[in-house]
Amino acid sequence: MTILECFGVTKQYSSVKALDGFSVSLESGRIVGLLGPNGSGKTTLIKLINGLLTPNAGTISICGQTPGPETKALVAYLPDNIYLNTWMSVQQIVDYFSDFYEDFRRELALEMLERLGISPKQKLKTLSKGNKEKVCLILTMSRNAKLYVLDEPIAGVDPAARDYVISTIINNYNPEATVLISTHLISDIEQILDEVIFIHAGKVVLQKTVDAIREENGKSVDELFREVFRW
Amino acid sequence: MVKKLYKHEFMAWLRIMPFFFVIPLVTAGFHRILQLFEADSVVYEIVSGSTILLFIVTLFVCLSAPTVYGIVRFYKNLFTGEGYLSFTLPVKNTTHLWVKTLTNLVFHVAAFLACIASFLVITSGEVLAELWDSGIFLWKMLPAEDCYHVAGFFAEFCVLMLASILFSILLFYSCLCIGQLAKKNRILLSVGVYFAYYVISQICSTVFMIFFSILSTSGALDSVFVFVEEHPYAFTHITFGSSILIYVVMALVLWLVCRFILQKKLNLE
Repeated sequence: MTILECFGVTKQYSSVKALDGFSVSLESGRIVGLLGPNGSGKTTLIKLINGLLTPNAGTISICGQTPGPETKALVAYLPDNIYLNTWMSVQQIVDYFSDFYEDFRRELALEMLERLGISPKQKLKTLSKGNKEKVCLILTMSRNAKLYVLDEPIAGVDPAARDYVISTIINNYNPEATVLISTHLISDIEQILDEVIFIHAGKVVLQKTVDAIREENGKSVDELFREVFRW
Repeated sequence: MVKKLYKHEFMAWLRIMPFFFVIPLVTAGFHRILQLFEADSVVYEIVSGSTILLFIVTLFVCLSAPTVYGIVRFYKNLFTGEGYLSFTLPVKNTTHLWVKTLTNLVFHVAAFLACIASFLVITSGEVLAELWDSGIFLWKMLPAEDCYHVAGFFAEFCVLMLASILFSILLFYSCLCIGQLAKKNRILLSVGVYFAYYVISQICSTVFMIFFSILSTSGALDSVFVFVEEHPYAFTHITFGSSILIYVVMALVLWLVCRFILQKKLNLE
């Protein structure tokens, strides 16, 4: 089943084209890496998928629907910055998610928070930056979504925390869903990917399964990425 | 979903606002208690005068708190990192605008009621009884037909106040929405847009006054003045009605500006 379909998507900021006729189709049950150098259009694409931006041209369809309130109920989004209301307690933000997302698994979220030693009574503003990021990840992965969109989930975190992020993704996503992970730290995430999309200057450079890259190119994804995007 | 959005919006406001509603009541109560120990001394006069001054300050703070908090909440909740959560909730972007505007309006009314309550506290006893008697006396002096008009003026005044508050809320929101279109210095641009509005509105009102005075001295408005003299109540109703209409139309325009930007030009940090 096709979860996400982009056709000829163009997004322009004044004179700069962040996405230029971007077309891609993602099937369910796959973990897909959206890989590209800085400024290649990854975050713009993710914002378009989440309805935070509107395209200048082209169409985006999530489970057959254009981005809107209906698709927002199907997509679990982890932005690349912290989105928490700092005045809330951990319990309050869990209640907030529970109120708005029917697919939110409240018990799972509380269990993961407990494992991290984060008390529900703790105020979000008292958490360290690392713990805030983990809370954001837990809230996102506690949803039983159709499409998970994770924007740079391992950027700026230490190697131990990267392992935590990756294991949280692997252990908690809905297996029938698609996980789209944007990153440029490929070696850390390569082992969990089924498929990759290389994006450059707002265009798809390559879309292949990880197995096909290894078989046809005889290289790891990281090696191929370095080759494709060599200066 | 909309109910849940209202629930969480009210929760956020209730975290802050009760404090601002209570302080004028407390200062009014304190001043009233102080009056029970009225003494002919300089110290009493200073303390009593200070509490009155404090009461006036708290009234001002209470009335301006919803505006200030409304601006902060709108900006933080929609245009900073929090916006990534707000705008990915399964609700329409315009629903956020509705919920924030109406919640802000409710708390403006609540602030006004808190000020009235604190006024009743500070005037409780003989002063309030005198005010009440005077009000009743004036009401009884009015002919029955005029009573309906006065009641009508009061109702129109209340609607006008609501319309003007709605307009001012949407004016601040639209300035913030326009400001966030910039890549940098978004708050500065919002302030600039507000001042631009203020300057333009001042120019428009000055031009209107000049135009009005020219027309009235030339005699072109004589028929209007005759109508005002012959039908003072009707003229007042028309003035209230047209003012309400102008505020509603301007609020609608600002709402459409906010709606367009939130739907089509969202530009999160």
